[in-house]
Amino acid sequence: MSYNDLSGFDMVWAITQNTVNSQLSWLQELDIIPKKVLLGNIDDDGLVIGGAGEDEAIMLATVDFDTGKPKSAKLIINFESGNISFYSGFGKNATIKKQPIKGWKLVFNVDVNIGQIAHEHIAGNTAVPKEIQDILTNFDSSMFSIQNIFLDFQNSDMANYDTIESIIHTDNEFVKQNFATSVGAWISSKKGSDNPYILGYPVSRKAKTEKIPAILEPTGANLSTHSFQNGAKVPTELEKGLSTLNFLLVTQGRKITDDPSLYGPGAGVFNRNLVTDNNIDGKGIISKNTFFDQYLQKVIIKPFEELVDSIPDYVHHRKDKKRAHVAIIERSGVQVKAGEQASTSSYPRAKFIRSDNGWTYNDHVRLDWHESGSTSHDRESEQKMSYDIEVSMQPDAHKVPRLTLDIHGSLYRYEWDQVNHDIPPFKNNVYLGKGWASAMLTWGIRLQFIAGVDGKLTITKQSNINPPVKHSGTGGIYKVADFFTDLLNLHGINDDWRQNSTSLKNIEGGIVADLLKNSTSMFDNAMTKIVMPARSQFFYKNLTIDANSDVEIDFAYKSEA
Amino acid sequence: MTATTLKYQAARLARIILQRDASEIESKQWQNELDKTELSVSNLIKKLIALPELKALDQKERASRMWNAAFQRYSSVESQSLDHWLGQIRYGLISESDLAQEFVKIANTGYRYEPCASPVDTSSDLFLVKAKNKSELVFSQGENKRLYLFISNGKNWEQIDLSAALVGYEKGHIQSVAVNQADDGKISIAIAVSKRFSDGSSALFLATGLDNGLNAADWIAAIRNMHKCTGIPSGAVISKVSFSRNQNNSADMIVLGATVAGAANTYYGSVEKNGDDWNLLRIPEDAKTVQQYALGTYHKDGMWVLYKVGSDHSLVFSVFPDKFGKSINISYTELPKNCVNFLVAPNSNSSVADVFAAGDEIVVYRASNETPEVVVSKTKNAKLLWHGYTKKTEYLLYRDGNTLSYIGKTKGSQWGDPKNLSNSLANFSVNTLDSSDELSLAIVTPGLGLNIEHLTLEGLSPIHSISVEAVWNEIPLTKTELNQAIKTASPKIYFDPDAEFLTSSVDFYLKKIGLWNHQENKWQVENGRLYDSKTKDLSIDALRAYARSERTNPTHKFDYYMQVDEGDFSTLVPGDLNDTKSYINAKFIPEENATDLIFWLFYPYNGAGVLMVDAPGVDKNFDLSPLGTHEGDWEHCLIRIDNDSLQPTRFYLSAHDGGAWHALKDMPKDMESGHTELYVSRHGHALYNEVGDNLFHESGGGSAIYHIGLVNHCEKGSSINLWEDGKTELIAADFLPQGELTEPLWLRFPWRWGRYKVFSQDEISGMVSHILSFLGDNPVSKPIKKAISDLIADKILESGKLGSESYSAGPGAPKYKSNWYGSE
Repeated sequence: MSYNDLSGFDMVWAITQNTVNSQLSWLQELDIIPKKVLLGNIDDDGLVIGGAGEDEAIMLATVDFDTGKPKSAKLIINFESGNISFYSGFGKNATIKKQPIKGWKLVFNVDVNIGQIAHEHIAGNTAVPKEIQDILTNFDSSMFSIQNIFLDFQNSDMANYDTIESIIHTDNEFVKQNFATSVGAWISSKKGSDNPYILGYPVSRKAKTEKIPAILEPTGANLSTHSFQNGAKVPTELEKGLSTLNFLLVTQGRKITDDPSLYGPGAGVFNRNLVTDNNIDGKGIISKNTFFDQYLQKVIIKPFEELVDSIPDYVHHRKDKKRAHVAIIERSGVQVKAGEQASTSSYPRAKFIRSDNGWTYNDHVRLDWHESGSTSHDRESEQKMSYDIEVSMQPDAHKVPRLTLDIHGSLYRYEWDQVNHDIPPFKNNVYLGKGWASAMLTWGIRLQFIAGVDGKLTITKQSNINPPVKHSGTGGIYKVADFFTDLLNLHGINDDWRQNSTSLKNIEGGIVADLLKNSTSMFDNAMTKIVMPARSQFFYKNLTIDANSDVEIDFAYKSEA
Repeated sequence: MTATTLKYQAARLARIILQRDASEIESKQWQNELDKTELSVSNLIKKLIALPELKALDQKERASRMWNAAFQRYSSVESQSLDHWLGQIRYGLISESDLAQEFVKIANTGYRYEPCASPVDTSSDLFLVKAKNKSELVFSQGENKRLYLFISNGKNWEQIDLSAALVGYEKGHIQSVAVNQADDGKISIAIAVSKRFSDGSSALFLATGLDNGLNAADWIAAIRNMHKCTGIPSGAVISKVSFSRNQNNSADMIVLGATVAGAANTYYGSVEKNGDDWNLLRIPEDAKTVQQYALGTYHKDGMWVLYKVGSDHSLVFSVFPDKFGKSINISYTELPKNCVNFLVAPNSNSSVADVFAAGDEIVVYRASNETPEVVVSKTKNAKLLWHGYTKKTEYLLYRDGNTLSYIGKTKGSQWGDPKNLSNSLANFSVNTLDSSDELSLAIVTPGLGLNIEHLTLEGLSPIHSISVEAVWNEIPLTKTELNQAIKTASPKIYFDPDAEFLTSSVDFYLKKIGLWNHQENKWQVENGRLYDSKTKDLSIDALRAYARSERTNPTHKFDYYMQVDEGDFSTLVPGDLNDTKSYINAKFIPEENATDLIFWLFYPYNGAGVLMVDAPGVDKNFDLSPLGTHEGDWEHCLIRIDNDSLQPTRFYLSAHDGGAWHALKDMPKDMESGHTELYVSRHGHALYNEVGDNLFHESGGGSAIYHIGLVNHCEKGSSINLWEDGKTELIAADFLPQGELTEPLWLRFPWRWGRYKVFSQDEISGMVSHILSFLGDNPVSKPIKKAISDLIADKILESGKLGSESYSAGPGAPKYKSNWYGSE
């Protein structure tokens, strides 16, 4: 396994801190995470946070991933209204004092962890909104396992708050400490499946499946947090919100536990900001390996190769000429010595081989033979069949760069014929004349991956087939009416090119049609396995291929035109 | 809410004439006849007035209803103009059968003599709210873009122009109104208004928490105290204002549809913040696919948007971007096919509103329930109109195809069967009633009546018919404003230095003339007796309906006329610049927001025409005497005043039987006073804005060898400044409230203001041969002679009589000229 920029993971779904916080605020709006704070008893504890009327304390909980550690967050509790009441003085002089807590802020450093949750703990769980319960319980428990990413209060120090970042406007040490510890204790009191501070649910397929739409489905998940870095500069408030919670995913039956680098301390530590724009809510990054070697390999290359293999090998083209010499000039994926004389019985077929951003296929064969008679012919017939598949960013009709898959096919045919006259008695071959003709036939398909206005992945298709490019020439006394017909049998080649199993028509109707059919559901299958804690209706906004040849998908809650 | 898209012109005419709402069949038939131009409006009026049900009406009532119908005026107050028309019938000047056509003609000129617009409209905002006294309040936007309140004081319904209380926008045009009543009865009102005839830029006024027990005076005070919202994008032209409601049905957000610098957008602001902070509403999708949106609450504030995606629809609630710049979206599944609209119905038990959606069925999503409940299973392009609860029943009003329908669900049971609601609801507003299980509807009928009806599962039952008084299309000038405008607009009038026949006051003339009975060739009222020195006006004797000759009599129209006694000729004919004034008729033209001031000048005598002949051998002006001479002469000019600035904008100067419009910039100005200057021609008293020989009935000229024409010679001789005290008298301004101005009696005088006299053939032929003798007798002069003869013949024709003879006659009375009520 060669590790790429995603440090061994097949996909990373990076959700911005702003998105996570927006989800938390929605959970608070739904009262899953309580907004109202009412803590303590004046007689037992000496202080009360919150109360009725003007005393009512309302808090807003947010997280900040700027901790310098890859699996942690600051939990920030901002108080928006309310009073704290406490005893002032002692004995019979004690009076109850009130102080507003609007503007107070408590910051706790907490671990972010991932854990398995059983299906039966989801339905009816008050820490999970009804809509999310519905989404999660829709996954068949025999096929999918559900994890949650949560603020792990049990393993965090909730007794001590971050004294530097917290704001408590009081000099009363008793109030200060007790305020913080009561809030800390209150927050961490909900444990395990009752903990409402959930940042997301990765859903993994339990067993590997060969079904194409499942190619991008995670089969294992981990997490990391990433703090937005702006070189030496301190990030702005907006940029801070672009810190990310990363869902680190493996596919195709891989498990996190397979490889220490997937669960070790450095897992999911990226030296770049995965999201740089608050107009999107997150980004899905599909590793080059996954996109090319899983997705495209399975969807395009494998069936393509099967199709090419079904075309008769040109090596056997002049089987009728028993003494024909066969020279393999190039056969991609097969070791060939230059001009190797092939045994015509069985010779390995060419293979698609990986190029930087795709695949190529070349099969170049030359046949030569002698046709005897009173007028003999020395003949050569050469064919080069090539296919190129390339992924790049190309402008669409509106000049917007799009993730583009180009498939090109080309067929080159060359025929050479030398005519000799056999002059008895020595049957010397006397050169009479020669003729040659060549033709190049090509077609191309361009597929562009576009996020449609409905937020769904749309693939646009353009195809073209070009007329043959022809050349011919003669020397000596060589007369044929039409080189292209007589010598090259161009009609035959052309018909074959338009109809064989790798013709434009067949590639479009077969492989490409399957790709179009499967891709949307395949990408959806990947995305729907990341469930956000409040609402998770993500939509695709844009697809690109980055400098590492990883495919990046921008997504948002809703596409905007 | 507008219920149908029918046209209501016939229904409206019928309601005015028949004083009842026409049945659906009747109005459909009559509207059809109008649409297919089988009937003109005036003929429909005649047809309706002849219906047997109106047999008992007297002539006055018939005329009154015809007048009102022509002006589409529904009012219990009789028109001030009616007397004039009845007088015309009495004097035998017009027959009743011609009235409808005459009235429609006048109505088409755009002048309005009394309020004619309706304070309720079929297509504008209408709101019904519950009042404390178990009655209702109705807010309506009138045809005149003003806001009216209909409020019951326990006995009567009062109609109040609330928009007149909007500080700084008293004369403004309402652009949109939103009225909301919360469950506790408190009323919120938002009004978008612009200055009339401005660029339309809006002001937004807001009042919340108004008590529903306010009386009329309280309401005016409440409107006067409305908060003028700040922070609206400057120059915004608001087309629609509405409220979104929270759980308790109280107004939560204000939503504005507004155009700013040509771009139409939607803005929202919170009621809590007094409508002082505004956000641009970004519809989170390609706007082209948006079919409808509504603001409201789904846990958090946000908006529902109904999108059309291909042939499919999707309904999504999007939370407004939170402090993190993110918005949550909630999708509704299983929408009705061919979804037409949705309706947000606050749910008192949940912070998520119910959402009804309609199309080929009607469904409701209760709170956050994702699976809809079917309300009506089979509908056709159904459109939801209103939803609400009474104590026991939940109601839904909707349109199914072209049928207005409603359905109810009694507590604890299923939705009942849909029922049809009457289709004669041109506009309506619904509210619940506290006390009972009924809905209350304010209904605007196709004929623009306003009714309150109650609706139960059994159907509609009429409660009140609210009397609706016609209102001004636009607010006219007050008497003070009018006087100010007259002072500003009054011109300086120059007379020719050689003019022998100058202007005088009417009194100057009336004091000496009498009423001549032409049939009997005797004074009907002797000279000197036509003037009542006590009233300083025409004697009432002049206005009696004296016996007329047969209509077939060639001189029928000259049965009676004012006549100068031979003995008074020398004193009357020169007029008297020291005893003269201009009489002003002010007319209101609401469409133009303008008032036309018609300055009438009276001359006791009109001199003869003057012919200019410039031909080989001749270059001379000839006096055409006696052609053109007559006793009495009324001339006028019109000055159009802009009602907002009170400044003149256009002028119409009369010249003989015609005249011409001039822009303000083309009018000469008196350097000293800044007032416009006008020049009166020497004999004919035509008005011009240029001195010199203003030619009239010209021929030849240019490269022709001759140039002839009638000369209206103007020079700056003596003058009168009409803005000076006593130099003008406002004699008519029908738009002023009744009783503010009393017309002089002489204005009602129906006959000619000078004698009828036939010229003898000798007089004319003598004059013609005198002119022609100057030209000699040669081939060159032949075409010139013909041109001159033609012109003189024209002059004769102009005076109204065919043949070789002509006559002289005084002018018709000003009020009986078509331009008194009509246009120039």
